[in-house]
Amino acid sequence: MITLNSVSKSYHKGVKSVDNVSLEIRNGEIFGFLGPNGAGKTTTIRMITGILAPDEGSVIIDGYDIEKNPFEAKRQFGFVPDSPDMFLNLKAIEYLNFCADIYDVKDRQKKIESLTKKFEIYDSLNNQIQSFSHGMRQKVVICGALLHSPKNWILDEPMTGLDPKSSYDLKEMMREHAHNNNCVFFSTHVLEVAEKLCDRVGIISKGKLLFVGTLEEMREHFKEEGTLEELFLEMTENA
Amino acid sequence: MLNRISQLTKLYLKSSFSNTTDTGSKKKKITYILLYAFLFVYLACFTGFLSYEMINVLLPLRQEAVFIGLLLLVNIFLTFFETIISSMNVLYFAKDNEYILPMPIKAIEIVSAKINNLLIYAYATELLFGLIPFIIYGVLTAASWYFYLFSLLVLIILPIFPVLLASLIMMILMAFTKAIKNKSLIQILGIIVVFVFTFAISTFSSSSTNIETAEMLAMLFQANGLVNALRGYFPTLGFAIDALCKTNFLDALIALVILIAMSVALYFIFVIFCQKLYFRGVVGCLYSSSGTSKKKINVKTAYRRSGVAKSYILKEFKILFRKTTFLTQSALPSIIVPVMMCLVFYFSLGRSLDESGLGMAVISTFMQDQEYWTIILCVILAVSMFDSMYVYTGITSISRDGENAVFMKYIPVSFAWQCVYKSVPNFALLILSEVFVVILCLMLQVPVVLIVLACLIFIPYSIIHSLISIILDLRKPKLHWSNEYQVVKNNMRIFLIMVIALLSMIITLLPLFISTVSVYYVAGILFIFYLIIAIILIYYVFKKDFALSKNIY
Repeated sequence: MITLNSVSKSYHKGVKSVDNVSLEIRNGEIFGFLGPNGAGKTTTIRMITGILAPDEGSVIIDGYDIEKNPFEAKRQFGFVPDSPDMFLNLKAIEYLNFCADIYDVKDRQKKIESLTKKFEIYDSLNNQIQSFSHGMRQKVVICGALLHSPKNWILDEPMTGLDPKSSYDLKEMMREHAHNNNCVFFSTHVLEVAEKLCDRVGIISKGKLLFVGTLEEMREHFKEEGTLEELFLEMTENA
Repeated sequence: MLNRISQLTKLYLKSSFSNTTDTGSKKKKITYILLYAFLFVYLACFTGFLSYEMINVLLPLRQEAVFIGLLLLVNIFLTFFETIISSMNVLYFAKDNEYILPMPIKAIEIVSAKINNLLIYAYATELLFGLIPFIIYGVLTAASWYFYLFSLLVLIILPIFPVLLASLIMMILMAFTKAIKNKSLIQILGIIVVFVFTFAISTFSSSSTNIETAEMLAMLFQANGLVNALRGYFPTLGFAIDALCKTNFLDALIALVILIAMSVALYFIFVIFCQKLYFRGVVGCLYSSSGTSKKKINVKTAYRRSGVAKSYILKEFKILFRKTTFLTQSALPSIIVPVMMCLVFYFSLGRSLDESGLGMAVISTFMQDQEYWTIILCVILAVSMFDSMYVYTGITSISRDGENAVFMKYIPVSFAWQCVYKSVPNFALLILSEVFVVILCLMLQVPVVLIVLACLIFIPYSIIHSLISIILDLRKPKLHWSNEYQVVKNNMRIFLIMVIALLSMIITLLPLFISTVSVYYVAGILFIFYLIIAIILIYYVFKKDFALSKNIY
């Protein structure tokens, strides 16, 4: 479970990139985090993962405060950043082994083989990541993030660059992970994916959380039967 | 077509210079311009002085024309070797090929623009090694007005043949061999060649300051023989010499016209007939850069488990040594510079010993005399610290990760320990540079006890150097860069490291003013001094811990 309690962050004086955001991502759900460019999605994700310290509020992951108990909190999640260009001069297997060492993964051979075969990159593990296409790099990073079987998945636009099969596989993995009473938090620009995949969504715009809930609740709130895309546009344009 | 060639040439030039001059702020740009200007003036003075000496030796014998032949030959060789090294990047490894090739631009326009790029690099070299010596020659020999005009034209035309020849050789190699398409290997070889060349020049210059006139004359006439021998292999060389040395104006003019006509004809023949050869190599390069090996992982070793420390440190070394730019800019100087310094020092010392009539026996006696041990120890340490000025690995350890540096913040590993792991490559290279100092000490028969004391004191100093480097990089890490050169080239903090090393040298040399102090006492004081600072820094890093990472996001 991931809990944000009145979290705020400013980069410049007087301008809040994230303004008093409170969220609870429960176990057993897939939570989609949506918003236009510059809305504060990445800043929020960075505060959850400990990259940025919030100016106000707190972030709790499975009972551990990210600022007060950073090591315990960081072991509870696997993070996939929006840029997959990680350590390009390492071979894929070296990167995965490194992740396994950092998180002290037991049974690493089985896990690496399972994940990389699922994403069809097993045969390329002996190549440097810089020789991979964007999609393959994304797969390597996803594998690295999931290697230690974290209960909480934090994915920043994970579908970008993935081929249809890999995208489908990742969505299935997300469903299965949530079904096993774990938590998936991901941001995306592809609203159709969010509509089909997410149990609940949160919409942020100009640093403020405009809505948190299910799609049905959103329709009830706006008294409209539109798609997520239509409701999203209406909400963010009026914000 | 000419307009397009001109536009492409400007584009390629701008693209290649933006790697090193894209500093962002006007103040930094001005600083860099001033630095380059200073370097230019320094080299110009050196070239000018050398030219002046040579011409003055030849003038009384009325053999000053020998200087012209030698100068032109040197410029041809410089251009040839410079083109061999730079042509790989300009012609093949530049990223612009992928963007330019799909555009509706004729092949002849691309080839012409690339060759023009190489010619402009050659002109930059000629500014130092051609123009300045020619001006000095003209002044000393009271040359006529047309000498200066002809010199200018010769300097413009002369590089064409060596540039074309070097480019042709590289095009043939790139078109028909696979190994040479390894960009990293070529770049590393290029750097090593440059360093060896620089070493040769510095050894020559350090030995030539004391050279006798007769010796210099002999060298010059030997070189003149070489010029005459090579006239057949470089057809433009002969006409260039005639254009500048013929006393008859008409003869000189005819030679100049032939030179221009020959060079221009060669240029057009080259760009027209070498297009296919060039693009065969370019396409081959694109294939080799995009391809992946089919080599499978070795299951027995691929999943080997390591501790966090070992894994992290190995990762740092792999990234440092596999990224050619980081290797050549951050790591190689720390190895090559101490080696060069030791060799230059040794050869200069050898020559001084020969001239003064002293031998190694005298040096050995000096080394064994305990009265001088304090001085010797301080000098060894000062040399080691001077070498440490060229270890830039730590000062770029965070910046090298670029935007990936945020990785340090979300993994469950103490940030302080990550800083320690990241400082290990810097520490290792410092120890390696110290190895060369130890080798030099052994050659000079320095007593082993002094070598051991120096090494012991150097250890806490290396810890200080490594940790300060990381702390400085963390204060303002350069994480948003589009190419690796920006990490090192625009990093003014490298100068801070040099300042710290210089300060340490001064502190280390202070005991020299206290003549009666025992070497063991001095060694003990220096060791404790550096150890205390190292402990303070370690405490600081662990106390601050995650707070050190506030500028990484």
